Amino acid sequence: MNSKFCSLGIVSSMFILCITSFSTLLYCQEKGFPFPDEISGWKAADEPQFFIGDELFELINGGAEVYHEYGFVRVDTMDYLSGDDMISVEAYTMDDSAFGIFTSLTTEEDQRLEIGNGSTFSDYYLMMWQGNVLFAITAQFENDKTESTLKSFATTFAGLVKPGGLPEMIGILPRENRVAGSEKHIVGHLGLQNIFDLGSRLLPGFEEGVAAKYENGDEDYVLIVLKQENESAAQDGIATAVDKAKDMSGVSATMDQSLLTLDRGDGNNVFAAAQGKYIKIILASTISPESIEKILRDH
Amino acid sequence: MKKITRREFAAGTIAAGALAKTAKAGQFFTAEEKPAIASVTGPDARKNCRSAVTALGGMQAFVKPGQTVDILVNFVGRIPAAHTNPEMFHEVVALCKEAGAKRVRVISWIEENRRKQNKLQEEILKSGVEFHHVDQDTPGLWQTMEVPRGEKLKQIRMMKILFESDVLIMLPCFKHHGSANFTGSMKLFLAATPRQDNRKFMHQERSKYIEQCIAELNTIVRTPDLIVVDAMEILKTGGPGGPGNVVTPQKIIAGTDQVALDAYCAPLLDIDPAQSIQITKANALGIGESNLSKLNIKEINLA
Repeated sequence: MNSKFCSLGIVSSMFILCITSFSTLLYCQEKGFPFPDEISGWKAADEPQFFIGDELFELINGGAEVYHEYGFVRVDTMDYLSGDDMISVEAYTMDDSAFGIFTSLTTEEDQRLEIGNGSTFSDYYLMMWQGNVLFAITAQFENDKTESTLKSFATTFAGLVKPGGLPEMIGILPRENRVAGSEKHIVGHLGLQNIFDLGSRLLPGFEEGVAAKYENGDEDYVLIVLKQENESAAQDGIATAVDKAKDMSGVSATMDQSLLTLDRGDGNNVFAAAQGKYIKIILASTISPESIEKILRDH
Repeated sequence: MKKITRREFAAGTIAAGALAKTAKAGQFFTAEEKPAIASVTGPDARKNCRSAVTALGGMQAFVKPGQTVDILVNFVGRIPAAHTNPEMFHEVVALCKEAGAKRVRVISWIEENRRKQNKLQEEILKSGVEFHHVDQDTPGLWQTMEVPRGEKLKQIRMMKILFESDVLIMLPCFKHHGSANFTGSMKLFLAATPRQDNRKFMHQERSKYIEQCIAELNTIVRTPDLIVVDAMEILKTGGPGGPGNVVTPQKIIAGTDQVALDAYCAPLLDIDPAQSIQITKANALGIGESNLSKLNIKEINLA
């Protein structure tokens, strides 16, 4: 009897949540993304498709893993047609903010837009995150209307999802000299690998991380900050990195007053140090010792 | 005729007489002259492809009259840079037919509704080439293989047909991959293992060992007779399916050593082959040669 009331309570809650969602943000993930039948003259081609959880592998094979790392829940897809032309839309719902997966898939070289919580345009496709949904809007053919058309799609979709916020840890990244749009939120080894190819081999574990590119005159570098469980774990992480670097060919590791330096022999060096419960990593080709010290010791 | 493995050829154990049988008159190659890799740059994928294969001795060096040729391609993704270049595919088919192939087939387990989403499928149908679908749910079409030298990959199913082909030609599309860093010649063998096994064995622990598994997979695969890599357009981000940034090196690269080809192509994605787990592990396992300075590489510019 108790379990029946519990189940009824859960179902009622979900129903109320969906009704509330309908009135305030229109997207209720239990029902699937509400693709409009028409956007700017483009008509929805067919019924939407959706893939939930592990089914994502059927849609994008091995590309699914990075989405799962960022908390993938479901993806809804729809094609829109205009004559012989087509625009494909994929709406990825994540279990929390879609900011992280958005940063993993975009770069600072993409044109930044002011649509949704964050968006970029590049040649033939537009990426946008709004709340817990990542949108990938792809044009089949590129022409002089592609950008404006994709923007109209993005604007429409942004209006259907409640906006979200940035992960708190982004606030740790210094603002000075930071390259706009280069910020990354990292939650696992695939996200780290995307920024720093040796990262997951040197530093097998972390709770959460952020990264960004910086330009300061002649000094360009990437700063990565990885949160560990505590100060001791951060120091152990550096010690582990030193050991693992010794087994890597083409990489020489030195420790000097708790600063780890990896010389990769190709001009791209790595500097890392523990600061409290964080491991800070700098990827740079030309950077002064003074700058390294300042960056790694800054609070 | 005994299949010649790559290692035997490299070791120069083939008698001059046997070598002469595979060479067209006027195009006799010694082991020293024949390049291990032929890389052709130019705007025309078909011309690039023909030039690359010719530089390796022509398709007649790989396909004998009357043989059946099986082809593996990259089907994933609607973005042109995400799947094998259709023009390159057409040229490979044409070359096989000119060499006297009795039958040319594309083999794949990818379901029709996934395949029909991209232009490659459309072009395969237009070409009239036989499409051989290997159903993932039919047990008799697959064989479970142990991986004796696998540390992370212990077993996996592979298509039986792969080991029954007269000639196996692989047409990888070189591109970024979100889990494995890149997809190249070695990784294309996942097209011969079913999706369920890929997920379970190759992408174990959230793809933590995918690159090592790719290398270990290549210890049990059938040696490809020819590999022609599509690097006309490269998906530089957002792989394997896109969307993502696309660059256009306009290259077709041919060879028979999947490790060497991946090492040669890696810099196209700003990847250092010496730091790539896929490449270094495969080299250590003796699958192929990643030290390009040891290889005869022919580069042709048709631009």
